Amino acid sequence: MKRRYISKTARIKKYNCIVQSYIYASGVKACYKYDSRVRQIFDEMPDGYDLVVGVLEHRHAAVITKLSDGLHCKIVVDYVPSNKCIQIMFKNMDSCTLVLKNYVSFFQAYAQGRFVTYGDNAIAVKFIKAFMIVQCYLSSISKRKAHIKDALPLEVKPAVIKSRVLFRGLL
Amino acid sequence: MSKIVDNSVKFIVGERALENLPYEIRLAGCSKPMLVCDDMSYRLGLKKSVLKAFNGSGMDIEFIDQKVGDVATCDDVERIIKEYNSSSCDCMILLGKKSVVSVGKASKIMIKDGSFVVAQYDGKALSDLSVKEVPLFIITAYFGCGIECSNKVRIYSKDQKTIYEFDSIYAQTDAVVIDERMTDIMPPKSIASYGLFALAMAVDGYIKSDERIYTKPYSMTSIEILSKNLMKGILHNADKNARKELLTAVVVAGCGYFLIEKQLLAVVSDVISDRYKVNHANIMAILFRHYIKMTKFNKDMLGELLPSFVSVEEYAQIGDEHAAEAVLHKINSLYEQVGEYVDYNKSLKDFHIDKSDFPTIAEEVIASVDAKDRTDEYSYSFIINLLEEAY
Amino acid sequence: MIGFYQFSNQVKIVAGKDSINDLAKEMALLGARNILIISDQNLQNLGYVKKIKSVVATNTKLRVNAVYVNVKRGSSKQTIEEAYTLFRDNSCDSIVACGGGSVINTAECLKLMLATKTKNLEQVYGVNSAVKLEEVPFGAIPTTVGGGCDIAQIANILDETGKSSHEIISEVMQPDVCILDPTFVMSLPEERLLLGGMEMLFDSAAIYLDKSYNPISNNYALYCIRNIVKMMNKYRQTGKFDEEVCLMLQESGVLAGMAVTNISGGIAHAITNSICDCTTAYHNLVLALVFPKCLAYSKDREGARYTKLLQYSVSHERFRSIDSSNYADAFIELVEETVSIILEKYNLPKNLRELGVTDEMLEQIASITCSDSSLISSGRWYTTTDVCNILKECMGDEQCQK
Repeated sequence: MKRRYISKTARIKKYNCIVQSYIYASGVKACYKYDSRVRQIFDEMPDGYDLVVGVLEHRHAAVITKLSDGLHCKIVVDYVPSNKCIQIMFKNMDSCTLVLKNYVSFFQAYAQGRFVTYGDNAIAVKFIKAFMIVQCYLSSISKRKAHIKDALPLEVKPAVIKSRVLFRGLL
Repeated sequence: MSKIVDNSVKFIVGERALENLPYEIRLAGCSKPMLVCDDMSYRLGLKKSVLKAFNGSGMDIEFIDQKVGDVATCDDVERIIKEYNSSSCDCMILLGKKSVVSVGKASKIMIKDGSFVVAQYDGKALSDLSVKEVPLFIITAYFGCGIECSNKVRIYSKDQKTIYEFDSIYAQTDAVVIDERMTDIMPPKSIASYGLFALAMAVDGYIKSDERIYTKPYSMTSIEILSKNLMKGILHNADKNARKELLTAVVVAGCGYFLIEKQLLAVVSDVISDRYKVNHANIMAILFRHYIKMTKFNKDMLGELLPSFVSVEEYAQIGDEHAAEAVLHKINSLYEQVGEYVDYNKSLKDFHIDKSDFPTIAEEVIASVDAKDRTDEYSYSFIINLLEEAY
Repeated sequence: MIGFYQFSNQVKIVAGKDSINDLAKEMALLGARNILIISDQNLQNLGYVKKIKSVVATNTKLRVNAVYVNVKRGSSKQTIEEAYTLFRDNSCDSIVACGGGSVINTAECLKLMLATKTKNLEQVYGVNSAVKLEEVPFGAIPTTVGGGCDIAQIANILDETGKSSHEIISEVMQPDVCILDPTFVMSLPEERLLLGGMEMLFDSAAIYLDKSYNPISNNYALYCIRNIVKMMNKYRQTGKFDEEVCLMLQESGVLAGMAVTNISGGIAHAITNSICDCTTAYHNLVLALVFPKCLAYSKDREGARYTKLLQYSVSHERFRSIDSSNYADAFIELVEETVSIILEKYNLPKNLRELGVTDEMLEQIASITCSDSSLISSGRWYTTTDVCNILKECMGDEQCQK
C-alpha cells in the first residue's frame, strides 16, 4: 500500500475529527437518557443497530450501537458495514469540523451536501434529526438560535447533557 | 429542428469549497489527478492552497505542470498531453488564468481522440471514437475568465500568428470550484472590469438566447449577484464574500453566454484582443455599453431582467412599458457608478488601439464567421459604428 | 451561516417536435450499442416502444437487445431486479426509458446498480453514496409532465409491502440525455397536463422558499414559474394543448428538475409524499390540495419571500396594482384561485376528505411526514401536532377552519 505523506496540520485536523465525533456520540448517548425524542428515535431501531459518524476515506469512525441495555459508543477502526447500520460520512475533514463544532447545523449540512449517507434514507433522516437535537444541547445559545429559528424545546438544561458528556463520556 | 442543450457542469461554491474536490474526483471514478497551473498561481500561493486541500484526503496530486504561460500555445497543449499520458493520470485539475483553462480543455479533447499534435488535429472529437474520458475540474482563480463552462477553446501557435479553434462538447468541464481563498488578489480596478464583463455576458446572453431557455437562469443569477455585490466589492475590497460572489457572477455569466452561438460582441472582442494583445474581458466590457444601445433586441425579453436589477419597491414604481428602458438605464448607471470610484479603462483609446485599424478589424470580424451564421449585425457599417462609439 | 452550495445538472436536453428522431444519434454519441428499452404495458399498446425501435434501427451500430414493459405504478425493488437480470442476460450496455415517473425511476435505479457494479440495490441506498465505476449510457423519454423527476437526482422505490418508499439520491443515476418530444405527451388528458403544470409551479415555489442559499437553483425556479405563466397564457389563447404549449410544459418541467439539488420540497412535499404512501392518489393532485394551506400556515415566517414569487407569477401591471403590504396574501390568493379553477373545471376532489383521507389516518400521515427528508431544509422543527393542524385545514371541515 502506498504510504502517503500527511502534514502535521492535517494530522491534527484528523485527530480533532475523531475527538469531535466521539463527543457527539457521547452527546447522543446522554440525550438518549434525558430527551424523549432522541429515545423514541433509537427505540424504534432493533437491537444491534449501528449509527456510524466519520469522514470518508478515514479509517476511524465513531459508532453508536443500540443494545437492549441502551446505547454504547466507541471509536472503531476500519468499520465493516452491515445491513443493520446507517453511516453518516462527511466528505472532508473541514465539513466534519464545521458541523461538529456547531458552526453549521446538521440540517444545513444535509442541504449543502456536506456529508453522504449509506443506508435507508428514511432512517438516516431520523438520525439526522436526533443529531440536530444533540447539536442544540451542545451549542451555545447564539448558535442554537441561528440553527433553528423556532425555539426547539429543550427537555433538560443543556448543562446536564454537557456535564454528562464530559464526565461519563470523556473522563 | 431540435433544440439541444448540453451543459453538465457542477458548481461548488463557498467557504472551504476546495476541500470538496477530492470527493468530486472520487465520484467521477478517478484517483490520480494532474494539476495544471501557471507560474503566477505558484507565486501567489494558490497552488499551495490546493495541495493543502488534498493533504489528509486520501488522494495525492499525481503530477503538477506549472509552465503554462500567459497565452495558450500549442507547445503547452502538446506538453500537457505527453505528461498526462506518461504519468498515467486519470483526470485534470486546472488552476489559473484563461490560458490554463484553454490549454486544459484543448488537451482533454485531443487526449480523448488519441491525438498528440495540435496542428495535425483534424477534429475527430465529434465522432463516436472514444479513446479516453478525461474528467476536468477547474478551480477558478483571480477573476475567472468566463470560459470555464464553455465548449469553445482557442489555442495559438508559438508565434501567435495562427489560431486553432475548437468547439466541442468534449471540452466540457465536470466541476467548477469557487473558493473565496482564491480571490485574495482582486484589486478594485480589476473587479470593475471583470464585473462589467460579467454584466455584458449576462445581458447579451439573455437577450440573444431565444431558444435556449435553459441558460437564461444563469444570466439572471449573475445579474442579481452583480447588482448586490459589484459596488460592495469595489468599495469594501476586504469583504471576501463580495469578492467570491463577483467571481461566481463571472463564471455563471460565462456559463450562460458561451453555451449559445458565439455572438458579435465576443467575436469583435476576440479579434481586437488577438491583434493588440489586450485582455478580452476589458474590451468586451467597453464595447457592451455602446452595443446594447445599438443592437436590435426583443424589448420584452430585456424587460424580463428588471426584477434581477432592481428591488421590489423600485419594480413596483416602474411601468411595464418602461421596463426595457429601466434596464438600460440601470446598466448605464452601473457603468457610471463604477467609473466614479475606479479609474478603469473606459474606451478603446485607453488601449492605444489605432482608429485607422477599424476597417481591417471589421473585415476580420466578418471573415471569421461563416456566411450562413452571420446575422444582420455582421455588417461593415454596424461594426465600424460600434468601434467608433467605443473609441 | 457558512455560505456554501452546489448546483449540478448532468443531463443533455434535446427538445422539439420529432426530437425522438435524434435518439439514435445521441445514444451512439454516448457509446451505446446494445439497448434495453424500459417502458410499461400501456405505452407499448400505444405504439411508443415500436416507434423507439424504429428510430434505433436507423443507426446500424445500435440494436435493441431486450424490452422490459412490466413496470407498474410506483417502481419497486422486484421490478428493478427483473430489469437488471434482463439487462445482463441479453448482454445490453445501455438503457432507453420511455414513460412516466415510475418507468424513469426504475431505469435510474437500474443505471445506478450497473454504474456502481452492485448486484444488490440496498447497497446503493443513501444520499450521494454511489461512486461511478462504469459508464452506462441512459436516454430518457418522459411521457408525463410533472416536477422534473425525470432528470432530478432523486428516485423513490416502493418496498416489498408496497406501502412505504425508499428514497435514493445520487448524481450517478441521472439520465445522460433527455428527449422532450411534445407528441409523447399530447395524448394525455388535459387535466393531467394542467395538474402537471401546477405541480411544477408548486415545486418551483417550494425550491425558492427552501432555506438553503442557492442562487442558481432559485433563479431556475423563478424562471420556471415565468415559463409556466407564459405557457398558461398561450394555452388560454389557443384553448388547447398543442405542440408548442406541450413543449413549453415539458421544458418547464426540466427547469424545475434542474432547480432541484438534493434537497427540495419543504412541508408541502413531505405531507404529499406521506399521503401518496398511504393512499393511491396522484402526487400532483394531492400537492394541489395541500400546497395553498402550507403557504398560509408558513406566511408569518416566510411571507416576505412570497413577494419575489408573486413578481414572477403575475404581469408587471398586475403586480403594481397590489398594495405592498399585501404581497404575501396576494400570492396565497393567486395559488388558491388557480387550484380551485382547475379542480372545479374537471370535477376533482376539493379537499383531502373527498380524496379518501379519513381522520384516523391523520396521525399516521403526520408521523411519516416528520421523517421525510423534504422537511429537513425547511429550517423549522415540525412536530406531529403541527402537521396534524395543517392536515385538518386541508380536510375541508368547516369547524376546523380559522
